[in-house]
Amino acid sequence: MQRVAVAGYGLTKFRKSNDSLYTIAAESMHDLFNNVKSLSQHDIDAVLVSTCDNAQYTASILSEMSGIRPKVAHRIENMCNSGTNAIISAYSYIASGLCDIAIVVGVEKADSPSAKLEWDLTRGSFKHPAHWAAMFSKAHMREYHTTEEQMALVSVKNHRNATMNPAAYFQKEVSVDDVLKSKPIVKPVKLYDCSAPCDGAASLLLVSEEKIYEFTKEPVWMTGIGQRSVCASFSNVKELTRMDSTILAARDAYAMAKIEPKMIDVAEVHDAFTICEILAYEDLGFVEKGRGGRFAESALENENGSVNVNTRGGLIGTGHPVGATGVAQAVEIAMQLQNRAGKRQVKNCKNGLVHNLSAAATSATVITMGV
Amino acid sequence: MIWPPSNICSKCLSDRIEWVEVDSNGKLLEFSESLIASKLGMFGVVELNENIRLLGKIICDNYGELKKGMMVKMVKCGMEGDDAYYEFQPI
Repeated sequence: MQRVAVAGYGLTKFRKSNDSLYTIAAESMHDLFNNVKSLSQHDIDAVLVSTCDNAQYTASILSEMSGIRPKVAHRIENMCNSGTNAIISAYSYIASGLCDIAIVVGVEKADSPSAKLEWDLTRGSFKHPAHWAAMFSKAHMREYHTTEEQMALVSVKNHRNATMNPAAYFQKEVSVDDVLKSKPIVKPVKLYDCSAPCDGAASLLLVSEEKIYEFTKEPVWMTGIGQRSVCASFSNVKELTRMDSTILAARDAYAMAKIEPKMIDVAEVHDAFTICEILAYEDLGFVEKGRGGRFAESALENENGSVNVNTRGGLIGTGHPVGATGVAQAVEIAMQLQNRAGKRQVKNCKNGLVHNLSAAATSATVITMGV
Repeated sequence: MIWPPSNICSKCLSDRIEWVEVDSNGKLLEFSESLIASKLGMFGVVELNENIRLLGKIICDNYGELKKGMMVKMVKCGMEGDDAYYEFQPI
């Protein structure tokens, strides 16, 4: 198997707009080509598009719009972890030798029909994701005494970090008090505990080991991959205080990369709701089970010098254009590892991690990257 | 027992499936209050005796008496458009 690395990326401002899906996606591809001057259209073997939109034939359309005639062009959808699923598909094509150079484009419109799993009769009329988030929050508060203030600190940190990310949708800090007084949605989940849909796109260039140095002197290697789908229905989510798909995906990624959680310097985790980040701290192995709330208290200023989480602002601060999120998370980790993250740069990063999940954490993807 | 409903068994992949009626009593695993306009009120995760879990409305006179682990009974279920709905009351 060939090794695979990130050679470049492109990103749009996350926003609300009247722009079409294709306009937004093409904007991110344009940014990628601007960032990787040695790349030309005829180099590209694969165009993979991650989106939950109802649009058809998106990969071939974007290929035509950007003058690419790839061997492989198709779309990947897996609700909120579509982006990392697409990255893993691209990785697989390159690692297997079928392709050398792939672009992954993640894109979504704010009004995409992406967040509710309509098939699942289990959720009854409570299909809005805030309902499962509230169940996870209540259970974690009950079992581990996690507090609403600790969950609010996740939102405070991520809103603050987003102000250092020009691409982020939200550019305003919030206080713990702001979060606690924000509109209640499903108790204890309030408005500022939630990520928000928006328009956005991110593109990632993946290249084989054989050709990587034609495009960058600073490759960011994909070192570990883990995915797991434990179920789709809420009926089969057997533990409300644990994300089994995340635990299993992380285990596989760490094993492949031959690293331990404590070696991760910077991580983008899937904070669809603040409780998800608290669970991610635990289930990715950054802290012991039950101590995620305490970790949130120290994460704001990273007092312990441990892993830096959601430096770009996470989903809560940056916005959540569903199909773009996983790709944008990977772009942030690549920027951090290449020392290009500007004001939010974490010093001396060697290993990064992307965590992306779907549908009440019934499936998850974990990718580790390193330099 | 297959839930959500399917035309094949997830264990043996047989397509010889039939509908069965299950006990409507279950255990309240977790609960909270929804403030989303069309869903106002208490709801929770209920586990029926055949290991089927549902998100359903909880109806009672005194919500302060709701406790994790208490037994509830399904009193209503059906379809509203494309959405199933389930309503439970404490036993």
